[in-house]
Amino acid sequence: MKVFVRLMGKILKDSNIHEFWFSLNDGASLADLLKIMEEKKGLKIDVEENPIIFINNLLINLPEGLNAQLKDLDKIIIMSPAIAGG
Amino acid sequence: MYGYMGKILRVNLSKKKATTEHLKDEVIRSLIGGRGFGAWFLWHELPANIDPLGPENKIIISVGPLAGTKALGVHRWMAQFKSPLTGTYFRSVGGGFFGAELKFAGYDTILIEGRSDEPIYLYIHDENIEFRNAEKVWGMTTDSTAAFLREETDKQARMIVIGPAGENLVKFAAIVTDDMRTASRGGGGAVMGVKNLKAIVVRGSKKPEIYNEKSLDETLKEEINTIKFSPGLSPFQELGTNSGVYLEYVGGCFPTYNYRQEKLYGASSFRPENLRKYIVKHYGCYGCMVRCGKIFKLSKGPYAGTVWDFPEYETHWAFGGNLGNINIESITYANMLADKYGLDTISAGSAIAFAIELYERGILGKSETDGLELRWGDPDIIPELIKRIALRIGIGRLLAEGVKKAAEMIGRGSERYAMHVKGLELPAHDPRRAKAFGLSMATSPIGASHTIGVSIFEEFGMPYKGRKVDPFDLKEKGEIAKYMQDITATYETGIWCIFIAFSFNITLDLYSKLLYAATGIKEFADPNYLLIVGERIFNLEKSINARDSIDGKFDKMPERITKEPILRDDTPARGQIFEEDILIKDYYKARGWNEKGIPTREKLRELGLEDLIMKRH
Repeated sequence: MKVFVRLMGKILKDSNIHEFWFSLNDGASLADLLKIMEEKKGLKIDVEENPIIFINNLLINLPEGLNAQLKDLDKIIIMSPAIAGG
Repeated sequence: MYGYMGKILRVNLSKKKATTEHLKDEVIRSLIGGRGFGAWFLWHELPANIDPLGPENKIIISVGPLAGTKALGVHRWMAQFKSPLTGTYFRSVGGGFFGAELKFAGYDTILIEGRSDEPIYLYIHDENIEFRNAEKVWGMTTDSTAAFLREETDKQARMIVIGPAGENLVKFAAIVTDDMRTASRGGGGAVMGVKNLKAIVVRGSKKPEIYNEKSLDETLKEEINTIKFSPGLSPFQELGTNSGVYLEYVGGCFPTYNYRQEKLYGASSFRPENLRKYIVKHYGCYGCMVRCGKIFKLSKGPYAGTVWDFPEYETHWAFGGNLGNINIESITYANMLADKYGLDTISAGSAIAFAIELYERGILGKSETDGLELRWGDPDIIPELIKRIALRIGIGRLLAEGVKKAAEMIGRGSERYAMHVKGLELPAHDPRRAKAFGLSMATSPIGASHTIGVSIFEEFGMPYKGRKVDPFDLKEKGEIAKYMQDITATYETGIWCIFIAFSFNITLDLYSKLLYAATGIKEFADPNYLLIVGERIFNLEKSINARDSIDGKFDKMPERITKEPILRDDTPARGQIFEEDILIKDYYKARGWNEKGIPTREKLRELGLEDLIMKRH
């Protein structure tokens, strides 16, 4: 299956936006996605740093949400908390 | 006295007289400082129902007990007054170097009362207080005023000034420092303007005494490490609040087209990789290692050659997304004009959005817009309207009143498009997108302020009771909004920079350690006590409003927020509305207030505010 991933904020230690389609085995979970992104693309997401994650516009609670099962064409947004206002 | 300088400078502009008073021990212990002090003075010294632009209004400028010490992020200053924009109690906060210098001059608080018959500025040099003629600088922009007054006083002096907007009593005129930091919201600039007070210039030679230097130094190391190892530090150092603009657009927080929340084509202009290109310099406030300030340079287009303080997140929204404008050059130029004229960018942008929507809908015609075509996304109309607002020319005379009053003057159904709470225009954070945040804005004593209850859970992503907070959910939002407001008030006793305090996770425990090390006041050693003080201050502020009959009737969001769902399909917030009735009830219950949104006798007694009971009940 393919999922769309958008990474925003300082989630990757640079401020640029990264967007891509990513191939996963059917039945893969969010945790699987994060692991494989690190292995295949060198993109490490540290869940200890409080990222905000949406799957198809639904907020995911951490850490239990890491078990969320993904489906074909899911849209995943992972962002660092926004420091805005001011 | 440790930490504090122990002195209030009372300045009577009518009599051109300045006297010093001592800070009362019981006020220090019960309210700590900063925001607490100003609220206390306004409760005790302002009669009910005064005209904010009359001589009875007072303006209190305070710094916190840690200002001028080695601690980081605690040197900001606060202006408190009755607001001409909202008619409520108001507090407005600024940064830069002025706060520390005020402390070095020997004062924790300046209390300004009365009105001068002619334009003056105050020059405070330690114990020497001068009322100086300001005719030469009256009419000057803020930056020109600062340069001129520095030459007249001391090259090392720091100051707060007003620009033409304040002189013209624009209801959202800002108070601006010489380094272009602003206490923008609520019209403090107009309060100074009507008092004919152009500037307060300070130069100091003292330092606060510290109770336990060794303990302060140790705690400072802890503070430095907390900031240094925070994951939020490097994006903030790199881009300041600009690091969050596009992110907040995607998240649905950054509302477009006067809160209609339609898709903004070209929003990628706000991506960090694009905004980064404009930066030529970084700078910071006094005592800050983060240095989130940036200078932008414009090299192309009609505003080429502009080099100025960059637009913050709110301003990218106010002159950008909220107007359907994606032209970064025009936003930067408009920001510069707002700083020079001394205008709050949020209220100014909101007033312009209001005017554009009214023009689009045929409620305002060309004869009322000075012949100007007001269109969404037109980058060049914005600087023109800013000028007209600041100078009260043409349509600017109407918009300078703020959207609430402007809508009352226009009628014709325009009220529906005036996006405000209690007269304060909504900021760049959609209440539909983060319900506790919206609840904090709806119930805030100063109207729709995004800083009165910092959104640490729904936007910064910190866990509440061990769980991530779903921004769209309604559960526990009353309790969460109360906590956000109380803890913000707590940190504002020290007038902390909210970015340092909340984004970099300076805990109450750490604040308590710094405070106790600086002051030696044993109550301050208990972080739980500090939180009670925050709640005490919030209830005091609410009581100041209640005295003027401003109660829960005014805890209301505009209809667009409660009835029109977010339209955009490019955000997780699509379809959300603000469920006001449910949320407000939940909040009053969490607060222990009555159904009219007023603190009960029991609540006031619990918080040690018995004298308020005597006067109110």
